[in-house]
Amino acid sequence: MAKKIVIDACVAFDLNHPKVNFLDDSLKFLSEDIVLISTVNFEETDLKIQRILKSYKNVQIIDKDETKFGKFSTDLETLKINLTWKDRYVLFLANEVKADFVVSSDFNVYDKASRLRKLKNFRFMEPMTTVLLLEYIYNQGKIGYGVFFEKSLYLYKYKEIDNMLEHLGKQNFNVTREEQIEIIEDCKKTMKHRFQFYKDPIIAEFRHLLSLGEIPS
Amino acid sequence: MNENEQKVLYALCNGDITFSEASEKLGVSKEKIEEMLENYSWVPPSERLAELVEIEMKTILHIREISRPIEFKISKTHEVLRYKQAEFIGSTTVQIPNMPIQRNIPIQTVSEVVLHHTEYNGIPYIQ
Repeated sequence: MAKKIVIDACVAFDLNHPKVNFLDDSLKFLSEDIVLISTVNFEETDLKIQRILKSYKNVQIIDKDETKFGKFSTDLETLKINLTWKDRYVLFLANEVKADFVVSSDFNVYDKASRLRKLKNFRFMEPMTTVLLLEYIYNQGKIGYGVFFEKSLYLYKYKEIDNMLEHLGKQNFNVTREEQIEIIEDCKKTMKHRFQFYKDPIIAEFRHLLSLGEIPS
Repeated sequence: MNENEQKVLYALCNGDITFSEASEKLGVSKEKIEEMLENYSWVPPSERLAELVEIEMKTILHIREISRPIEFKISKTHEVLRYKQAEFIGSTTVQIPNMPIQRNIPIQTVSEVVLHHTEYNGIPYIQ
């Protein structure tokens, strides 16, 4: 049975990152499932992403419903599940359509989806990160382990490292804004180089084992 | 964003206070709090992060479980029809795609279900 998968805008951004370049393929591999995004989150994405999302029959862009959303927001406030209204729309849509999965790489959305699910004792609305969505596609037999492995590492390098350092960049360093930006950008580059030192030998060994047939492709 | 504002937004994201309480603490409207939240990046406390990792592990197990091909065989004299895909409906019912078969079975013990042709409308048993 087709799974209903609600995605946050950041998931489309993650997968469409030039180094990851997997949004098109992911949607193709999810053709037996239904991917849903609210217009609020859809409008957060850029034109290229919007074109890709619109080109798939299994992608549904769901209109706003202010009345129901208002009530849902009040319910969330009572439960002290606090998000911006755009992020609340991700959970709102997942709740409305009783989504099997709700996908976001935003820790806040992931955390709040988990809390809502736990507090309301939902069997649906299982939270996923973008990497878990790849895990799902891999487990469905749509991609090989090599693709899953490499794309996950790319996501870590090009999204996660940036996200972590963006967070650090919002702290007070007691320097000028320009200096702070320079420090953060320098940190990003250093971390990515360091990451490469870990990644390259692992990938080389992985490819070697793959060529020996010791790992399923 | 000053230190006090950051502290209030952290408590808000942690679920320690509501939007109304945050609005009172900072003396600004709830809409303004939402606006501030847009520019705030929350990193959960380590205990919460550990919980999230645990939830993630459960999701991985669930993904593996629902993706596991379950082989259904329907014997028809010597011919065996195999169905690799099957869908669980609720907790105890299974539907085989393209077959008008829907049965209640104790799925927690299922490794393989065999439906004999003669039992087409009967209760399948677990091999």
